[in-house]
Amino acid sequence: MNFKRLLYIVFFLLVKNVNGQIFELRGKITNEENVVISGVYVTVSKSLNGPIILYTKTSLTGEFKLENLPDTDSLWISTAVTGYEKSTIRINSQSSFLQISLRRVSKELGEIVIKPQIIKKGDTLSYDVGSFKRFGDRSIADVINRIPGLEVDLSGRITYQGNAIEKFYIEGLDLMGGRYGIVNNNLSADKVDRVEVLENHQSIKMLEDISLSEKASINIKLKNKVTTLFPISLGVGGTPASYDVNITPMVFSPKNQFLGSILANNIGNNIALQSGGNSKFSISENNNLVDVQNAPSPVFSERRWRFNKSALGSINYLYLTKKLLELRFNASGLLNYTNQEFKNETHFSIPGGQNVSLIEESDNKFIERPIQISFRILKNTKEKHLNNHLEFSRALNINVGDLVRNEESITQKAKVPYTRIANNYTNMLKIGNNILNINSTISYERLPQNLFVSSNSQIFALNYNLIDQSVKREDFLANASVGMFFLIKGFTLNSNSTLQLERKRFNSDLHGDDSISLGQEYRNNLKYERTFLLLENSLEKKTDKWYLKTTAPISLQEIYYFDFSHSRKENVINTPFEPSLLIRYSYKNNWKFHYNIKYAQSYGDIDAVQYGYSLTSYRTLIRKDLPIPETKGITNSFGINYNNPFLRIAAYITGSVNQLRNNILLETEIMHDGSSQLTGQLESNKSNVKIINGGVSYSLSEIDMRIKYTGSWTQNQRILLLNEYRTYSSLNSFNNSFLISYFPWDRISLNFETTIRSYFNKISENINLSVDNFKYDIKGKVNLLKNQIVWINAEYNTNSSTKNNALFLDGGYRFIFPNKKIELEFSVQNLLNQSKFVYESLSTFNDSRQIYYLRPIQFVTTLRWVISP
Amino acid sequence: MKLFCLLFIAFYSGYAKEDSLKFELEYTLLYKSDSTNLDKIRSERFILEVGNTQSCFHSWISYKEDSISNVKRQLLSEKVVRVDQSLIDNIYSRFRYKVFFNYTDEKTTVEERIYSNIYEFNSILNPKEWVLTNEMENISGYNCQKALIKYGGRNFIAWFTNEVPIVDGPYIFKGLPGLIVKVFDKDNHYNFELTNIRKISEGVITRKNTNSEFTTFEKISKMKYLYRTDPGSLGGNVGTYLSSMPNYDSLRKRRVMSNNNPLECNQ
Repeated sequence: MNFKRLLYIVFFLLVKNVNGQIFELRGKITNEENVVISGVYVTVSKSLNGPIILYTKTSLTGEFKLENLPDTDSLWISTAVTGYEKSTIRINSQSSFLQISLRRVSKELGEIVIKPQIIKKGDTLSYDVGSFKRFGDRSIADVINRIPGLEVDLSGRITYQGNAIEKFYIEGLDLMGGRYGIVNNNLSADKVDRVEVLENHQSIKMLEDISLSEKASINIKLKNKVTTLFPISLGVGGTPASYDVNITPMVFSPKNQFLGSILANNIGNNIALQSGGNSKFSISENNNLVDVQNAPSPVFSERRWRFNKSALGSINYLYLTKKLLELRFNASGLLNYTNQEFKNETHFSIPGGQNVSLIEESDNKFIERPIQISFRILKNTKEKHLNNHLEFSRALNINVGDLVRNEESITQKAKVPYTRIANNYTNMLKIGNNILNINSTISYERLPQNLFVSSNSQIFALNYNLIDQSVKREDFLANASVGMFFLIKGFTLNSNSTLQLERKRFNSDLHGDDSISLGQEYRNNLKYERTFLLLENSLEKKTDKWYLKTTAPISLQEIYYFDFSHSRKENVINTPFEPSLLIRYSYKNNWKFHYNIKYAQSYGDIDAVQYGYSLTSYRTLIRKDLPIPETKGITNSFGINYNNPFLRIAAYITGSVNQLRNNILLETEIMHDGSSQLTGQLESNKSNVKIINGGVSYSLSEIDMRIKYTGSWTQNQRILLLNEYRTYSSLNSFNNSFLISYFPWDRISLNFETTIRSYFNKISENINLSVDNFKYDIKGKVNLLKNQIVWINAEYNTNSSTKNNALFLDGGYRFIFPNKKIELEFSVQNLLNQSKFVYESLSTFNDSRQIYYLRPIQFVTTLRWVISP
Repeated sequence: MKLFCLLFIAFYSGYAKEDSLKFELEYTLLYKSDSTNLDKIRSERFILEVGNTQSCFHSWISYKEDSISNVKRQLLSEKVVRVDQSLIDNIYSRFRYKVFFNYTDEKTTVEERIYSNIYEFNSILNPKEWVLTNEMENISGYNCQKALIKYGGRNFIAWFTNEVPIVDGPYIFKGLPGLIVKVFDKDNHYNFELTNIRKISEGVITRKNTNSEFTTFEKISKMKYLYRTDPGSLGGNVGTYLSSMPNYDSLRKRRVMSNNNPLECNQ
């Protein structure tokens, strides 16, 4: 970098100022010792990476002459010779003589394999990890985050062009089954050779080239055939006494993959997310029927206001037999105690001039104790596909909230356990050219939950100071399908028939003081049955550039609701036809366009109808004494995707318009104390959801800078009944994030990131609400003397209406022992000891302000080492 | 004296440093040796060893020749009739040449073995005939420019990059201002593609065969034609040995049938 700059300076000093047009350029090329180099190619291009239009070679005296140069504003002169680094210089028509000094190929390269940074083959993009790794990067997640188009959040989850990836493979094997955050955050980048992005990846090998997926997956290629890693990280600190432990041994070999993990901390890190996945069986999944009053997630790091004690244990093992049968076992358990304190100021804007304000001071404690176990047998070859996946999860979670509302003191205790078990079986067989597909799913879940509320005044004007809401939900689902993929002249026709049975129960009862039942009006004893026969035909056609898929599912379904307590029943039989069309076009390998139109018709689930009242939180009461809700709608969506890894640009824009027609109009009644009651009435109405997402990521390799922008806009429009007023709401939310990451010198990194989260809501003609939250991050990192790193992060938060701005400073120092396997790190969080933070948000008919009480200044000393044979 | 010693050390270390620089590039050739059966695609790995002043391009098999020569010898001595073809393909290269490229004078010399004789001749590809186009494409992760040349009766398309500190190419395809990442003829009968680059710090490029016989490209082409079509006609020990084999005729026919599409198809 410095050397190149020097070259520019040398060049400008030597340029002669000659008036008039210059048609030839002379020059001399030497090495660092000023010895002339002969046989150097000197090339001329009109742009930096543009095609060579002219070239010549240096003579034995190292001199060259380029004649008949085009008289343009600027030309780029480059050198090419074996063993010397390429030098590129910009010249203009004023230039007449160049003195270029070339540097030998850096000795530091040593034994490093020079490989293409990026290889694109079909739908696979392969990135060389070494080329993207920068100083201070430890895990593969750090490196993946630098690759244009890919993004990793704190939990280790990856998105590609704005969409979550589907599979995370290590050497082609899916060890973690969606819960890959732990691997991503702990696998050392030094052990990884390449990161492959598999666009439109079809995970079933039998269906490769037959049926495409919309999603991308990641494959990690390791340097060695067998990788054994035992990273240990032990941190202790103060104030108050704190610990942060991470022990994650892992072994990856062609036949065995293993990852064990013990994580524990009380420094605010949410380790449940790291083990989280995208299924219902994830231990971070929240499916509470009742809960304590909670605060929305602010724009700033949750870590700053989480007082926690967490421990996570996880074992994951995959064995590949000689017959290519994959046996996988995953188990994880979590103990998570979290305390969060905040103040919530909510203002409800009700047409007709009624305004209700609510101030709540909350102290919430969450005790999460989930376990999750799964076992999978998979045979995934071109000839056969067999998959049986058994999953079990159980949690004994309790949430407790102490809350002060005005003068009122309220205690909430929500017991929110759940148990789930499911088995999924898939078998595919080749019959001639065609593929037979048999699938069956069976699942059961049970949520016996309960909310206890006590107050020094009456709750919900129910004449009780103590309220005990018990709810119990049981879901059973059985599903069997048989299908066939027919391959006919380049088309894939998939005919599938499915029979699904759903049996669900919802029981609830509300008790007042001394366990007195509030009566039938507050009781539910609902049974829901749905029988569903689906016939689905889809046709796919893929060419080099085009991909077309059309589906025409028609179903016959019977839905039946029966409430024993209220002796009420509803029954409906319908035959929804839900066609869809997807067109995708690839242009010049880098561009992908897609358009999708879909018609959907849906009917309420068990939670859509409820004849008796029940509480979901201390101030939300629900009753849906309604016919079966029906929603019909058309969704139009489009997307443009551009990824040119060679130019290091990745950009995407996607949009969707979802126009729905509902038969039920939801009704909300806000009471004087801020409590709300949700009901509804039969009335046809329309609602719209519009979403636009976009992002651009661009790396300027010449100056080692990366620029990234992501933005999203969501608009939710609907008609609603609010305190008997018919009104409409148009809730808009904007999210914008802009990042510049710059390495001005090899050992200094600077990051600037700004995040703007804005909300705008129009409720009726005369009520407009808007809030903006801004967050600015500046991060500086310096690599001192190769083995020492110092960093400082400044985070400034502000919002549009309050003056409670907050500046956070965090920093640290890392010393890497010469063998590179041991690191000692000192870090400090919240150096300025900020005690609170204000965040503003909007929902359908209220604006609210949250004041979060923060963790105090905190120091942690961490020792990390990696045992790696 | 001290000064002399210092100068000597400086010179020597500089020289040694320069000598230690060496790259090893790997190319894969996909080719169709039988013009009557174009569906059959053969492949072979090649190594391009790059030094300071010259490079050497040769088959990966000949690179590994020493280690497997025993197997070869055994196979020959046993006169095995039924040998797994893939085994033969892995130990016998169909490309028994080494191409040396001198960076200073830009001369490309080919050393080719026909039976036990080694011939040496200058390449007839004239680097000045390369025609650069404005087309750019990303090939194997490198920003490449397209260049065209006519050689051996075929129209070749080369994609070269100047992003790598190596100026060279596979086989006799040299003389472009960059490294050739991919070169193939329009009919795609011969396609060399770069698959790996390693920087290595030891080893030198030497010409082992000092007893080679200098000849011209035209003469060697004639010899190769005869070798392909009728090895026995060349005489010599091996030729006689082969022609004395009982199934020589059928062997010869098969060879002619399957090996009728050399890279230099006009020879």
